Amino acid sequence: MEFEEMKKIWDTQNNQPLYAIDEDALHKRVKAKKNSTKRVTSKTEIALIAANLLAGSLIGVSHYMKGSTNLVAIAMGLMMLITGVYLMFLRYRRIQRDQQVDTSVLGDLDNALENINYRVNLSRSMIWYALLVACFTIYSVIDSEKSIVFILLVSVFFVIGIFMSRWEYKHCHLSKREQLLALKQKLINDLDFDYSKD
Amino acid sequence: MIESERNKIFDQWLARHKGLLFKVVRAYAFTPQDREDLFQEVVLQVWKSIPKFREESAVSTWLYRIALNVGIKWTTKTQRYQEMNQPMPEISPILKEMEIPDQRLIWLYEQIAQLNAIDRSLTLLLLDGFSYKEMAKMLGITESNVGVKINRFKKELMKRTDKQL
Repeated sequence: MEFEEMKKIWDTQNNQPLYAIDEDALHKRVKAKKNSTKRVTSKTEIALIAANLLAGSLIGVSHYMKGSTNLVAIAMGLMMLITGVYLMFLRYRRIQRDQQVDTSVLGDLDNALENINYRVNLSRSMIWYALLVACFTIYSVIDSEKSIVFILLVSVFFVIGIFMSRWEYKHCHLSKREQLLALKQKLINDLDFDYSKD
Repeated sequence: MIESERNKIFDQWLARHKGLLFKVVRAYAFTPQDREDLFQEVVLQVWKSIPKFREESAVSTWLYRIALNVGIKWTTKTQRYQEMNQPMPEISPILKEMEIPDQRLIWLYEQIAQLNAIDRSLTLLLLDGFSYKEMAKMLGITESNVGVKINRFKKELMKRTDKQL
């Protein structure tokens, strides 16, 4: 066979794409993505709520027991408790929203996107929040006249924590959102998919 | 670039050039699951690349470059994955194979699959009528190197054709 003939064989696929989309399988895949996003979002929320309520309570109780008048530490404890409660409210609202999702592929995909957007915003807010907690903590540590080494250790701990949060924000949440957006684009534009179908 | 503009370009590119992406996917991934994953990865990279496109080359060339880069990286990644003996997850395939217009096309893809990642890219580009200069630019090798490689696998391909078809 000559190369030109090979090329002709090759060109036959130009007018007839090699693949089509199995809509049922696609819906299953989208559902799996939605559930996985929901699961991760829920775990993130629970971890944040527990950490804030626990840390806030511990700070509050320990200062109360000591009869401390360290206003900065008390304010930080209070801020953590309020944040924990606020996160509970956000979680409640998200669960309500999840229950109102229509069961079409588009509904499922939009819900997955809503959840990932929510996680992106939460993660971004938590980075700023961590900075605030870091400032409060370092101020408290300096105020309580701890050694320089201790202050440095606390600072390094926060720097690493914030750095890791930023990494997670960029590489996990943002990239996941891009993947979902690309999937949505692919579905809408490439496949002429009937979204209203359950 | 605003989001709606990016989406519009993405729509147009995929509508016009999805066949090109399928070719690369078929040449680099060999199971239905892998093909889907690779297709999704290629589509994602295409979407990300839109703001970087400066119209210095044809859209098809740009898309080929992206798809081939992803395909080559994919080969390395899949090899590593298989070496680690991780079981592939059981998910029903989304991409449904259509009837192949010419059965010799299957044979051709099988032959392409036996080449290494770079030669595979060159074969696809050659079959789609790209010049040596374009191929060299896309793959980051010299034009003479392109020529040598193409001559070598063309001869090999012809030999196999005579034996098998």
